[in-house]
Amino acid sequence: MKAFYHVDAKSFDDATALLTQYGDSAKVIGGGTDLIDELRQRCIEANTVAPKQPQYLINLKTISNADYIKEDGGVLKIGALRKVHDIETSSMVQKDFPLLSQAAQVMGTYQIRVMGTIAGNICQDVRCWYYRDKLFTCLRKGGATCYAQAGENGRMHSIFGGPRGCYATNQSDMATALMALDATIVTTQRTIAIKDFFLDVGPGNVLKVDEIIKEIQVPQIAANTKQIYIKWQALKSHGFGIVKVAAALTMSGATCTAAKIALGGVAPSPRRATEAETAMTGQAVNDANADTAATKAMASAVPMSKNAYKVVVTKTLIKRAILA
Amino acid sequence: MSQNLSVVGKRLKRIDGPDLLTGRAQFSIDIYRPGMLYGRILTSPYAHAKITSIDTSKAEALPGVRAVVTYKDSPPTPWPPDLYVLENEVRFVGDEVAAVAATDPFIAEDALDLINVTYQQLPAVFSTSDALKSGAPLVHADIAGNIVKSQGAVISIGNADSAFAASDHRYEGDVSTPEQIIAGIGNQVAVAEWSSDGGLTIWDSSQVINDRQKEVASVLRMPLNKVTIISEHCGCGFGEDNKFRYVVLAALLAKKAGAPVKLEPGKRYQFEASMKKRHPTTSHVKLGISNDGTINAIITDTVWEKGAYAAGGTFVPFVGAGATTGLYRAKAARYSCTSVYTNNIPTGAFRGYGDPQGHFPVETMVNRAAEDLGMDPAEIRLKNHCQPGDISPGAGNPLSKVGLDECITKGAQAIGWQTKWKPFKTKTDTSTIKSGVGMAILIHTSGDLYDPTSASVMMNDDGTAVVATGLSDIGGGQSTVIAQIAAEELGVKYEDIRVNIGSSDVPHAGGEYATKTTHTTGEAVRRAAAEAKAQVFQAAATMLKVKPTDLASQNGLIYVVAQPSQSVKFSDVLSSPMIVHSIVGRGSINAPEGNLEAMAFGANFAEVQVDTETGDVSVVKMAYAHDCGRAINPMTSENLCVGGTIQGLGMALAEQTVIDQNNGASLTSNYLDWGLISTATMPEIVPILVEPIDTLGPYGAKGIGECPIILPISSINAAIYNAIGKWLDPPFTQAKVLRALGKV
Repeated sequence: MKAFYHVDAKSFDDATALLTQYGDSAKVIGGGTDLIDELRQRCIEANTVAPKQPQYLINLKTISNADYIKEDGGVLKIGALRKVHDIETSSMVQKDFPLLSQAAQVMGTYQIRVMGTIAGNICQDVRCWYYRDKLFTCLRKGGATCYAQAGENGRMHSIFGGPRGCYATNQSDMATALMALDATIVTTQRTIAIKDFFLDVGPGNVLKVDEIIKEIQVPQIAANTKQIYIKWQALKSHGFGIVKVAAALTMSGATCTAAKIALGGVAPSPRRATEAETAMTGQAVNDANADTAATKAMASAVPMSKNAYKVVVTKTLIKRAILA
Repeated sequence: MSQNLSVVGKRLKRIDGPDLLTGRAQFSIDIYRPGMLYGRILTSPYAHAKITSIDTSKAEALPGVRAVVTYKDSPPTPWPPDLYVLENEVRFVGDEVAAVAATDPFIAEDALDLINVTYQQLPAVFSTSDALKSGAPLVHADIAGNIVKSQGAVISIGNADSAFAASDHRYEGDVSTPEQIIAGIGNQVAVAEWSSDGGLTIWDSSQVINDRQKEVASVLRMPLNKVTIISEHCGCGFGEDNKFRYVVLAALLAKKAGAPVKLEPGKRYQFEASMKKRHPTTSHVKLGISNDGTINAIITDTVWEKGAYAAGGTFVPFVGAGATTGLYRAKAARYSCTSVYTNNIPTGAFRGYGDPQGHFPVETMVNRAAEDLGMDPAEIRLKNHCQPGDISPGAGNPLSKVGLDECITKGAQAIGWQTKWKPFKTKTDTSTIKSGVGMAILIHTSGDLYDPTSASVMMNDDGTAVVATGLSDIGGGQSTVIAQIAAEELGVKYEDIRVNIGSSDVPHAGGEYATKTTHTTGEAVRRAAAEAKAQVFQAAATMLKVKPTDLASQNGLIYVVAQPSQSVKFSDVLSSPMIVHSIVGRGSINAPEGNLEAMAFGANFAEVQVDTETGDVSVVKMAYAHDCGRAINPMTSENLCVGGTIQGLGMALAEQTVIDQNNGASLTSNYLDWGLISTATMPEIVPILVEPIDTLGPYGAKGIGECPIILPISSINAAIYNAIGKWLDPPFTQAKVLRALGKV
């Protein structure tokens, strides 16, 4: 690992000033469970585009009152520094947004959950094997080639294409869950709907060099909504999910009146399965309708050379999430 | 031999347990020496290249850097046949190029970037099938056809071709087994220090202390009395052939820097260069069988991938013969092996040493035959497995005892075979998630392989004793087991024994390999204890006015067998004026002795559920029944059964090195992506110890260590077939299951 300076920020304003001062040679650090690992792997040292190897880490953990969780006017507000474990165990989250609690529960290990923050999880870097290997200066790092396209794309890559040339998938459990809940991200500069937050390349999101997430807001959800989060892995373990499905179906009797279904690990950014949502709206929740909806959601899938099985698995999981 | 045992056979707590649990046990990473430097290793980014120039001046100029070594510093002697400490040619991504020692580890790492290497890339080959093609790039320029001749053979019993042709039923197929990385949690670290008289001490995490001492002395051309290897505990055993390189690099750096060096190459290095992986294999296998289920002929042709170097794991492809030539009483058998170089991570010794690969083709074919003939897979094995007196596939002597009947029946009982198994073709299950059970059996060495092994037992005045032998405790409870054997043989208490292991300065124990320690090192210890006891009995007999042969001992008391009230304590004898010298007993063995040979046997049963819509294979339960002759400590024995089964489960379900086919880099050289089994995936595992007390070994004990890892790929494969009617090759990933079901 290369040496770096570790600077404590006293406030978001302080952190912003430090980012302004150091530019792209600085990065903010929350729990650090992804960033420190990335620095130890030495895999972004050659990056010519963001994220670049940081010489300064701006520590946000020293900012007070940034890890709250509260209800305010029917909106759940979560401070950016809230630990993932404290989202899992929050009674407010468990009661109103069980899928978010479930997503928190299956993220990493206990040790990672008590260190990792919700904002850090949303902003985590991709897990493409080539990107994470210092031997490959891939397209996402500023190189000319996406090695996964003609190489090993069996687990951590897209089945919905790579419109910006990179096929690495977003692996955030929090992002997938929040996508299904239509969350909003409040930064030091603006408020961004989560569907507009992610980028298919580069640092993976629209945050500017001097912009920091302060809060995540989750709007109220209808009371009669059944929610589920499914994380599917090659092995049940602390590892990253290959396919993730977050579903919230508002029910009136046996009929689904509104469906929100988000997919993670299958596209460069978390994605809403809008075809399935439309197919289920106004329909009875049964095996045949769930199967039709899941099939429609996967109609536009374009698997790569080694991940066609992910299309089958994703379809199965969408169906099971609807029926759960 | 008295069977009234007071220490052997008991579930005693591990002798090293408190030190391990409280962190006091010293591994090589815990060693700090005055003025110690930190070492790091530069590895190759190319699968095959010539180093045309290497400039270390910038690295050497970095403040804090004290030594840099390259191929120019490498001794001219290879570890046979092909492994130099460093060379001007690299043969896989991760191959060693240079090493640096500096005052702190971060400076050492920074210095690696400042070594300017110019490579001339050479053509590379990443599969055995490509390597065997005519005109394929040569991994070693002087080895034609990429074939390692010294690691190929044909072993024949009878005329296998005609026995196969004459069989009522003939089965034939191609199978493959995957590589497996030794993902030990221990850190591989070598600390090297030179003394003023030119002596070299290396603290290593080694399981083959004496071999390592000889290799280091040989390559550095030093007498053995100047090379000391210390490794009391090793957290990354399971096989370790290639450690040779970083151990010698630590010594070279320490010499050049004039200071002790701790060389800690890191986990990626551990995945790629220092711990060799299990050989991937491809086999063509034939099985000829009679109408009544008698196995007539087994023919297995196996190609073993050596990776970039053939040094180490030399006998692995030969050991793979055992399942073909010795597991069943086939009239005729032929096993042939071909070892092939590629530009992949080198392969070598890994727990099981060729037997997971050797058993998979044979056990898969026996299961296929049973299914086709409508026979119960347990029955076909009970009918055909080897018997006492049959020739062992190990050293070639007649087998002593064979506990397979009991392994099969008890394992079957534990998994509920009788109610759960029925042929796949008779199943009518239409549910999404399908259940199945499967089984397989094994034969494996128990240490009878002519590896000279010695120990000494020294008595203290107070009746306590020190056992000394050059083994390392690699986690299986080795020191506990030899303490129990010594205590039993002497007739003293378990807590009266101290174990002095982990150094090349005590009687040599060969290596900590081949499922050997209990059966072979244990017997050397027993003999040393017997010799020490005989010396004590000599004096005790004088004190008690009887003959030494009238005496026995237990719990620290020496007594007259015919009149047990007539007794004397060990401490009274040893502190008496009659004892004017240290009582030291010596014991040695070069097993097998005489005309019999002990082999270990086992039977593994698996129950799975296969999700036909996601391809998930859930292993619900496993039972492993092992014939260990006698369990010296049933607790450590059961631990080995469970641990090995888990490790075998990883090989079956997920462990896989994914290699980029363009440049040959491994993309999964870390604990996250490699696919190690975690507790969330572990099924209930039932360990069963079968104890047909053997005629050889200490108290009739045979080994366990490697065996439990051998069969899970075979039994789980059979269970998956039993669930979905498809035969697969491991690892049984979701993608393979879905493809087999025609869903992808």
